Formats: sequence, structure tokens, C-alpha cells
Amino acid sequence: MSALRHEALDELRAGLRSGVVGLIYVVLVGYLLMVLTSSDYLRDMGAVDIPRNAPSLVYLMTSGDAFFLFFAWAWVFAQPIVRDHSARLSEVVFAAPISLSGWLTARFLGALGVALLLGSSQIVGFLVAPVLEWLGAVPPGSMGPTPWGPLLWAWLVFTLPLAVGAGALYTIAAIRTRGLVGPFTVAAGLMTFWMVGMIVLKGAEVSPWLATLVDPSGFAEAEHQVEHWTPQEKSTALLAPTPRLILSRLLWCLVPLALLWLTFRRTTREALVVEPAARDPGSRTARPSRTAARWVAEPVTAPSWWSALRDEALWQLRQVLLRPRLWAALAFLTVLAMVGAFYHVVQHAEGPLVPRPERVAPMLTEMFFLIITFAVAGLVGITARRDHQIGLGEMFDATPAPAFVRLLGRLVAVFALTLILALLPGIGALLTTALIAPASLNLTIPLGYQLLVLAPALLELAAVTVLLHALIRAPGPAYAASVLAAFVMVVNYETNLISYPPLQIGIPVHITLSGLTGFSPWLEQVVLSGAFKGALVILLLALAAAVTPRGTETGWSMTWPLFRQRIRGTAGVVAGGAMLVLLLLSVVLHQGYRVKGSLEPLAVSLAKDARWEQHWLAAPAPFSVTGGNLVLRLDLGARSLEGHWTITGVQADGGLLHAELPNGFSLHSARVQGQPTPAIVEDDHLALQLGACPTNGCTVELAWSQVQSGWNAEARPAWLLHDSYWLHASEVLPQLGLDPKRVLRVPADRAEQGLRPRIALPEDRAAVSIDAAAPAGRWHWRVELVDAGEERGSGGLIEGPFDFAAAWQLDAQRSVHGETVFIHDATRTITAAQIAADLVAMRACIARRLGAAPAVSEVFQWPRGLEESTLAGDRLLLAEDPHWDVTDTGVGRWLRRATIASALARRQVRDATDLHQGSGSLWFSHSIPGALGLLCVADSDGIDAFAAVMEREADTVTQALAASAVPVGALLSARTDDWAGDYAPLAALDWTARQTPASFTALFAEIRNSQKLAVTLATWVGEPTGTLILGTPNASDLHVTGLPESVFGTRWHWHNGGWRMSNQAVEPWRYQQQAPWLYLDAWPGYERSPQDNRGSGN
Amino acid sequence: MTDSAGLFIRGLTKTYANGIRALSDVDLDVPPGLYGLLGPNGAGKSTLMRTLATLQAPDCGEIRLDGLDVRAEPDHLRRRLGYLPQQIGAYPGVSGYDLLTRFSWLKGRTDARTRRAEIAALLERVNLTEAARRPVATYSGGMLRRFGIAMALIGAPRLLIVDEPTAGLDPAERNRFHRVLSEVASEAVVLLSTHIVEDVENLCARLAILAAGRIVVEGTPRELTARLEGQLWAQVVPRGEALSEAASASTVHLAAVPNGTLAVAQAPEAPSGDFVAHRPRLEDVYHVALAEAGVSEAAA
Ligand SMILES: Nc1ncnc2c1ncn2[C@@H]1O[C@H](COP(=O)(O)OP(=O)(O)OP(=O)(O)O)[C@@H](O)[C@H]1O
Ligand SMILES: [Mg+2]
Repeated sequence: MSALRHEALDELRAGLRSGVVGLIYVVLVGYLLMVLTSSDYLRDMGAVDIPRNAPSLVYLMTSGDAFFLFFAWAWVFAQPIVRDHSARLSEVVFAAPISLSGWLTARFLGALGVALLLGSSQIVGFLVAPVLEWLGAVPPGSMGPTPWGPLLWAWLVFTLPLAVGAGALYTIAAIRTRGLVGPFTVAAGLMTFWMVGMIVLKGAEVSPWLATLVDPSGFAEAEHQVEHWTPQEKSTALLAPTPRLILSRLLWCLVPLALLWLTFRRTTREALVVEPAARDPGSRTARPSRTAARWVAEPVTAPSWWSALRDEALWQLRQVLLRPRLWAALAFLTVLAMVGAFYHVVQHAEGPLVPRPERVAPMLTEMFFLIITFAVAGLVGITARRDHQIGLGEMFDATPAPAFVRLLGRLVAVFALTLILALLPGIGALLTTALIAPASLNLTIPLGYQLLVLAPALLELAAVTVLLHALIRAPGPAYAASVLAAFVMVVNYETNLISYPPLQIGIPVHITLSGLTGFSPWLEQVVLSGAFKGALVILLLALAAAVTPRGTETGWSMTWPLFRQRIRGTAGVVAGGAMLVLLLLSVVLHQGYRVKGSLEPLAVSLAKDARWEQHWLAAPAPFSVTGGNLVLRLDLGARSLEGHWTITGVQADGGLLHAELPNGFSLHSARVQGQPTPAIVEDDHLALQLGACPTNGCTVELAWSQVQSGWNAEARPAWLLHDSYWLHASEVLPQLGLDPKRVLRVPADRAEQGLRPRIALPEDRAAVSIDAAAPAGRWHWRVELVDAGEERGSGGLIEGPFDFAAAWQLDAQRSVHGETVFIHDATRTITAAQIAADLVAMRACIARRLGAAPAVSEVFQWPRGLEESTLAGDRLLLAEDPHWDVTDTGVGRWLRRATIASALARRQVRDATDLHQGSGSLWFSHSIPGALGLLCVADSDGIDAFAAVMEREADTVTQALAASAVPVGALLSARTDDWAGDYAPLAALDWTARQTPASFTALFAEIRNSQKLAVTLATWVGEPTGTLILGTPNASDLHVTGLPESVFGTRWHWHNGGWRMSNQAVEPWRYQQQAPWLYLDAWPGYERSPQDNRGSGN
Repeated sequence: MTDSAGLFIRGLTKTYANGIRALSDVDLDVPPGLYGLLGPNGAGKSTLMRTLATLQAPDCGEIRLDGLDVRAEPDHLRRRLGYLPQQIGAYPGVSGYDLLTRFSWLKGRTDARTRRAEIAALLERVNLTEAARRPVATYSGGMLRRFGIAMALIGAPRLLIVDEPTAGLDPAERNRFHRVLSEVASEAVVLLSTHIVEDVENLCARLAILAAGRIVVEGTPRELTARLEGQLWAQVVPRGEALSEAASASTVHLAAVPNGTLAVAQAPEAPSGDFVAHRPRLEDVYHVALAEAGVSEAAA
């Protein structure tokens, strides 16, 4: 027994000595601390008002570590078998008088010890996290007490069972293959299981049960639970041991253990010692001729190293490509990609959607990013180390071939492998489109996306891997380091930890492709970023070439002189050239992102907003206008715009006219009553001195230009391209007034910027208009094109708040349905007809419910990524994603109808009220229109459609509240682009459903006259409803049970970051009088789960 | 000597990063022909060979091949070098033929026709023609050795360095290999390290004995044995009996024989006991040299 204990301890010691444990601890703990100091990242995680070391993060990180551990553990558990084998000691060891299964068990336990140690690095990270606060790296108070309970619980639920289960599988694989290949294949397999669980089953909401069961890491379940947690729960809750979680942990732990037990019993010494007998491949070769034997070797003279390079490259390629297993794995992944595309696109919960390449290729790329990244790290490592065989490596090193022959030969193989993996999602996308939507088949989008967007990022990772293997001679630490690098890149990708795109090594540039514009908005950015990544790859490879050891000597004392010597040679020239190119490109990229583009670090924009608030918010600024004339001249060639805007009847209380400026705005002149006037342009804000105005107001003239050739990091396409434009006024013009969006809402941000803790919004009449550049008036507008015919321009007269849209593209199709023209790409003609039907139905509904509906003359397929759907003037900008992708039946179509109806309603309400974005305006801009959208779906498609759409929306709200980037507070002062935009429609459903056209009209008129939103609304709806509807969120959960039918339910009220149960009783009422009907709670809150609210009156 | 043919080594010293001085001040002249390098485990034979093969840099010293400075121009030597290390592993997933072909162009055989002819001839020479298309990973220990020899012979090397090449070969293959070596040695410098004294005795024109990083003896086998003529005495000590104290002091080595232990002693006259005159063989030279160099042999 003591011999076995000794074996186990020996294994543990060997693992500790390998250097892998230390490396992983240093990197992972360091990385965790880095993540915890990044407030951007925690904002994305919805961790704004919870401690940075909150339990929710413990669960996500502990289970998320599995992706890395899959590979690290594979190495650890392979060691007992591999170590003796490679030292050629296995025969000695197995000849020893010990029980084989006992020996194997002891070694397994030793390796398990190492594995558990590796798997506990995040505990150390969280334990030392408070040091960050002490160092001042995070604001004081942002770390809670060390979450001992969650750390322990996460370790028990995630780390321990997985280490045992996966370890058993790795050991089995190591015994079977007597090498690393088996365990690494198992690691890839576990990753694939995770992918299937996480992406196919959970992502597509097929079955959370199956998703949790199939996922070995437990991440799917952790995320599922945490996603729905309120901030309060995030900082206190223990992960619930749901039956499916327990079952999954048992499954992944006990089944492998049983298999391991069987394997141990069956394994013979012979199987571990003797090489597997290979099949005789037969003699393909021509037998050497007899003359051959008589051939006398001549010494080598004048070798041609270029032809050696060619042969070497082909040879390396064969080693990589002539592997049936590789192709089998690729085929499997391609099928998996198609399944993924099927669930996520065709069977999308908000679909069904048509699998067009512009949607599928980026989606699959994101889905497969993790597995592809690790595959690149692993396979590139294998290729880089292929020659590291005992003795043979020395023989290769002693050949006269210059270093570049073998190095470039290997790099060709690395390059080919990386490209093949990069293409994988594109092939999946192509096949899916070919099978399901052949009419949309197109080669350039999927292949272009993979080669221009994904491949450069993967090559960066490949180059880093090559460099690490050149630097680190021992295979264990080298693989560990490259898998760590891959892990860090993946986490950076998921969490957006690094915000400046050129620094996002190993991460593809963010773009969105539209069926209308394809690559044209992106080409410049993609090509230049690709070139930057390419130059970085060359630099890294040149460095790798400079440190690649030749000969048997190792250690830093050797590497450094070698590096110094080689860097003076070709490697140095290449590295220097690459650095020069990097430098030049970084200037160009800086221009594109920072100078011409809109990318600025969060700290900069927070500081700008804070200065804006200090300068302008307190001053009295209510203003009014009567109309004006706008001319915009677009220069497609230069991608610039010149604007000339005359505004009449301007009156402003403080003598200052304010405007929020769009990106890239540069003021040329400002005149009041024909005279130049002082104008302050700072922090994207314009303040114009009006001076003394006549009683009917001043006439203000603004002339400006705007360059649109910059980039951003949010994958938002430019609206002005060389061959088309997509102009929406409120996005392009200065917006008159103060923008409440700029008021900082996060208390920590306000404190940091030195602002008072209490949030104040601009006065109602001083704020910018909703969806409009200026308040109601008589507005003439014209868009002209430099050097282009009349037909490409556009113009009109708006009577009301000033908003219009104009777009032009040569290839766009126009189809006419009734009075309306639809402008879309060539593959969406049928969709246009369906949208036409939706538009007719929704206009009728809005007219019925509000008394009138705005006219729509044109409907645009508004390119993906540009903005959400809206009605500008008489043009409906309908977002390509998702509304031009949905098919003719299903939830997607109902959601489209809801969107169209609420866009129409929003315009109607806005025009009727001439509303500014003051306190409470959300009720008119989002609540009422959104609720009307839902109600119109109920009117046109019935109670089933209504319930289905409500359910989607309710789920969205729950998650938005959990993930909010600002603390959830009162609706009165909330920003529309956070949780409030999702919550507002559902909360207004009850109230909106009870209104009549006449009551709406009366309310809108009163608002228009008073312009005091909150007060008017409160008197109109009465108390306590008035306070409730504009307060913090409310929720109810009704359910219908029994025969005869009875309705129960609970109400909650959001309080201090969490739900608090209300002691008020629910007041169920029936939506729709005839059966089947839907019960809703009669108060301003949202129904959390509408699926059990159905009643039939029995 | 610097301008003459062959390998010329002066003052070669090599210290490893862990402080072990594996070679100290080695001087050696290796003329064309077969040259044997003998030495106990850890003497520094492999170190010397790796250093000659340009795989590691010496601390100091001079190495010339046919008069040309190797340390200044390693590629000059690499083009003329055949090197077979002490151990070679199996390259996974590749056939012997494939690996030889690759090795061949890395050695500069970039013309495909010549390459094919040379490989076919070499395979024949090491008796691997039949197994050429099998994965190297399935070769037996002896096959792998022979395969390594074929690799080392590619490109008709001027300097062939082989580190214990016959370990693991059966007698027929060993003979065959010796013939190959002799053939090569007719035009090249062949440096052969081994523990098998007999091999050196049969094959090598000259030899050196390396111990603790120093050359302790150098010469032809005949010269070296001649020096010990008349100085060696042997006695078979029956099992269970001990050697007399005086005799064991002068004993150079002990060897097991069927009826006991054969003790060979060095002395000007026959030591007391049943010692008889012993005709010196190379093995005795080896042991005497080590004893003189003060290297204790654990297996004595
Ligand atoms: N890479 C290395 N790093 C450090 N020390 C080494 C290294 N290689 C060899 N040595 C040491 O150098 C000395 C000489 O070793 P070398 O391998 O040259 O001996 P050898 O004569 O070939 O022995 P053997 O007959 O056992 O093969 C030994 O003490 C050995 O431990
Ligand atoms: Mg040796």
C-alpha cells in the first residue's frame, strides 16, 4: 500500500516540478485580477452595483475556467503514461512487481491532485482580489468580503466532479494511445459537448435540461441561472442545486469513473509497453531497381535551397493535410455548424429566419470561435514541435539546410491549418444556405468574411503559438502557455476587455454585413486591420525565427546571445520591416478610429459628459422654433457632407441655443439675423449666442461639414458610402436642445467625475426632441449630391417635429405594393410583399386605436447594424436585422408587426405631443407605442400570437434588468437604451389597452399644451398609479389553475437592486372577452411568465 | 597538421549550464579512416560528438576539418557531415522512405533523381528496402538503428560521426554495419564511439580513450597493446575465495569466467599467487588507461 502511496505522491511531485502549475497560477491569477480591475468588462457583465468579487462572478469564472482546464488537464492526466514512455522507462516500470491497476490508480490519484491544484487558481485570484482595493487599482468599496461559501460551493460543484470525470476520460485515452493525442482529442471532444450544450441546446432554447446535461463544464447552467439574477441575488445567492445540475455533475463524474475502473481492470502490461502493430500499407513504391544498389554516392554539391524549401513545404503540408482524422473532425464540425445554423437561424426563437450568408457566417464564426481558437493553439503547437523527436531533432539540426528551409516549411503548414479552420464556419454557412435558402446563395460573403475577418485574427494566435513554442523548449509548459494565450484571447473576445481594436490580438474586427451593402462599408477598415494583423504576425514570426534553438543547448543563457546574433541577420531585417509597417498602419488606424471615427475610450467620453453636465445643464435653456430650411450636399467620392440649415423663429430663455452634435461635425459658420455670432463647440456640444431677438424670434444659420470615413468598434456601418447613402436626419443633424442621455447615471462614475450624486435631467422644453432634430415646425429639406443626377437626391416638407430620411443605392430593388414603394436587395422581393401586408394591417390597427395613423410612402430595408426601426417623415426605416430575415409565419413575423405598429404609433404620438425628451417622456415614446404594437399583434393574429410575443418580451426584460449597465431606478429618469426601453411597453399594456382614441387624443393635446409630462400624466392617471408607472419596475406573475378556473398571483416591486414581494393582491382581468383569453394583472408592471395565464372559462 | 586532411581538435573544452565540465582541453587528430573513441559512461563521448556536429558550442578550443575552421563556418562542416546520435526516437506517422527523402533534401540533395537513387541504394545497404514504406514508429529497435545509419550516410559525408551505432544490432546486422563503415572509411573520416572494445580492435586504425572529459590514451591498437607487453599477469580466482591483498592492489580489472573470476594485474614481475603471464589486449589497455587516469570503475 505504501508503494502505491509513494507512486501517487511521486506523480504529484512530478506535476508540481514540471513548471506548468506555476505558469498557470501566475497567468490565470494575474488575468483574473486584470478582469476585476476592468470596469468596462464588469459593466458588460451587468455587475454595476454589485461587488467585483460577487458570487455570480465566482460561478461564471469557475465554470468558465473549464475551457482552459480541458486542455491543461489533458496534459496532466497523460503524464503518468507519457512520461515513462518517452523516457523509454515504461518497460522497466511495468516489469516492477506491483499490481498494475493499483499502480494506475495511484498515478491517477497523483495526477488528480495536480489537476485540482490547477483548477483552483481562481480561488487564489479571488482571495488576493482585495489587494486591488488596497493598491488603489479599483475604487474603494468595490470589493465585497471574500465569498468563501460560493468559492467552496463552485469548487465542489464544478471543479471537483469535472476533474475526476474528465481526468478519468483522459487517463483512458492516454492508456489507449500511449501519448498526448488521445487526451487532447478527448479535450476537443469535451469542448464540443460544451458547444453543443451551450450553443445548440441552450442558445437556441431547445431544452435547458438537455443543455445542462450535455455540458461537461457546468457553464451553461451557471450562466442560465445568473442571467436571470437581480443584482441583489448576484451579490448574495448560492447557485441553486437544481436536479438537472446535480444530474449533470453526477453524469460527468461517475460514468467516466466507471469506464476508468473497467479500463484499469482490463489493461494489460503488454498493452502499455508494446507499440501498436500498424497495418502494413503494402508496397506502393516501385521496388528499388538493381542498379540502385550499385549506385555510388557523390558528395553533395551546389544544393538548391529553394527547391528544398518547396519540397519541405509540401512535405509539411502533407503531414498536416493527409490525416483522415483531421478531415473527419472537420466534417463533424461542419455538420455541427449546420445544426447550429439550423437552431440559431432557421429555428430561432424570434424567427424562423432565412439563413442568408450575411447572417449565418458571422453567427457561426462567433459560435465556433472558442473551439477554433483552441484547435489552432493545439494543432499549430503540434506542427511546430513535429521535429522534436529524440535524436532525430539533433540530426535535422546538424543538416546544412539553412534555418529558413525548415522554419518556412513549418509555417506553410501552420498557415494552411489556420486557413482551413478559419474557413470552417463559412463552409457551414454556405452549405446551410445552399440547402435551405438556395436563392440567397453567395460565395463572397461567407468566404470573404472568413478570410478577411477571421483568418487574420487566427493567424495572430498561430504566430503567438509558434513564438511560445520557440521560446519554451519543454513541451508541457509550451503547450500550457499557448493554450493559456488562446484562453486569454477568447475571454478578451467574450468580455471586450480591450477596447481599442488594433490591440485586440487574436480577435476578429467587428463588422456587420448587410445584404444591401455587403463588404463596401467595411472594406477599408477590414483590409487595413488585416494588414496590421498580418504585419504583427510577420513580426512575431521573425522573432520566433530569431529564438528558435538549433542544436542541443537550451536555456535563456543560450537564447539571448542567439537572439542577438540572429536579429542582426535576415530575421532582424524582417522584424524591422514589420515594425515599420506596424508603425505606419497604427497611425492610419488611429486616424480611422480615433481622429475621423467615433471611437474614444470610455474614460474620455465619461469625462466629456461630465464637463457637458457642469457647463450646460444648470442654465435655463427652454427654447422654441417655428421651422426652417435645410440643404445637405453629399459628396459620395469624398464621403463627406456639407450642411446649411436656416432655422427661423428661434427663441431661447438663456439667450443660448444648444445642440448636440453628431460625430465628425465641424462648424463652418454660425449666423444670427445674418450676422456672424460667437459659437462654442466643445464636447460634441454646440452653444450659440443668440443676442437680442425680435419678438417673433431670431433666424439662425448654421453651415458645417462632416466627414464620414471614420470607423467605430461597435460594428456600426457608415451611412455614407462611395456608392450609396442611408441618411436619417436625427442621426446626422445637430439635435437642438440638451440631450438627457448624456447625464451620467452610474453613482460611481458621477463620484469619479466630481458630479453631485443627485441626478437632474434637462427641463422638459430644453431637452432634445424625441426622434427628431428639432421640435415641431415647418421644415423644408433637400439632399443634393455633388456630381450626380437629380434622381439620387431627395427633398420635402415636414410639418411637425423635424425628422426625415433619404437613401439611395444603385443596385437596390424597388417593389410597389399599393401606394407604398419598398426598397430592398434582390433576394428580398418576397419578404417585401409580406411586409406590405403587415404594414396595411398595422396601419389599420393604429388608426383604430389612436384615431389616426401616419402615411407611409416608402419602406426601406435599413442596413443591418445601422439603427432600429423608425418612421422618419413618411419613410419607414425597417431594420434588416431581424425584420427582413424572418419568414412568413411565426413569432418573428408577429414581432415584426409589433415593431411596425409601434413605429407608426410612436410617430403619431410624437407628432401629436411635440414631445421633448424630458422626465417621463419615455411613457410616450416607448410605453404607449410599444404597448400598442403588442396589442395590434393581438388584434390581428389572435391571443396565441399575443402570448408568444409577450413571452419573448418578458424574457428580454428579465434579462435586461439583470444585465443593466446602470443601476435600475425610476422609469421617470431612465435612459431609453437600457432596461427601460424593454420594460416600458409591457408596463403600459394594462393601461394602454383600456384607452380609447378619444382619451388618447385628449391626453396628447394636454401634454402638447402643458409640456409638463410627469405632472400631466400623474393627474391624468391618478394616484397611486401615477407614481407607480414612472417609478422603479414592477412585476407580476399570474397563473391559472384548476377547474373551475381560478387565478392566483404575486406582485413584486424593484427595490435596491432586487425584487421585493408586494403585499398587494393581484387584480386579474381578462384581455379579450371571448374564450380563450389571457389574464393580466391590472397594474403598471410586467407579467413575468405569460405562458400560464391562459384561460378558457371552464 | 592544420593543413592536412582529417579532423583536427585542439584545446576543446565544454561546460554544461549545470556546471559539469564534460570536456576539458581535448586534443585529437583524426585522420581519414575509422577512428574509435572509447570511454566509460559519462566520459564525455556524446558531448564531444555533439560538439563536433555543431549542435552545441564549446567554451573554447579549435576544430578544423581538412584545414577549415569549423567554429567559424559551421555550414561548411554540416555539408560534409553524417551524424548518428546515441538514441533516436520514432517520428510519428511517417514512413521510413518519406523521412529519408526529407532528410535528403535537408542535406542538400535537392535534385530528385539523384535523391531517389541514393535512397534506394542506402536502403539496400542497410537492408531496409522491404520495410521502407512502413511507418518508422513500427520499426524494431535494430531496424531503427539501421534506419538511423542510412540517414547518417545520406549525401556521402566526408566526416561521419556515429555514437554507439551497434547497440541493439544482431550479429549479422552488426557485421553488415561494420562492412558499411569500413567502405565509408576508405574516403572519409569516421569517428565511432562505443563501449565495445572488441569492435574498435577489429575495425579501427586508431583510437582514443576518453575519461572524465580528457583524452587519456591515443594511438593504434597495436601500439597501445605493445606498451603493456610483459607487464600483465592473470589468475583465475575460484568462486568464494578472495584475492590476496597484495595482488588486489595491482589488479587492473576483474572479469567473470565460467569457473570463477579472472583477475588481471599489472606489475613488472608476476605477483605472488597463481598468476601467469597475460598477453595484453585492447580491453586491458582500456582498463589500465582508466586506472592510470585515476578514474574509478564502479563495475570493477
Ligand atoms: N545536456 C546536458 N546538460 C548537463 N550535463 C550533461 C548534459 N549532457 C551530458 N551531461 C553530462 O556531461 C557528462 C558527459 O556526458 P556524455 O553524455 O557526453 O557522456 P558519454 O561518454 O556519452 O556517456 P555514455 O557512454 O553513458 O553515453 C556527464 O557527466 C553528463 O552527466
Ligand atoms: Mg553517450
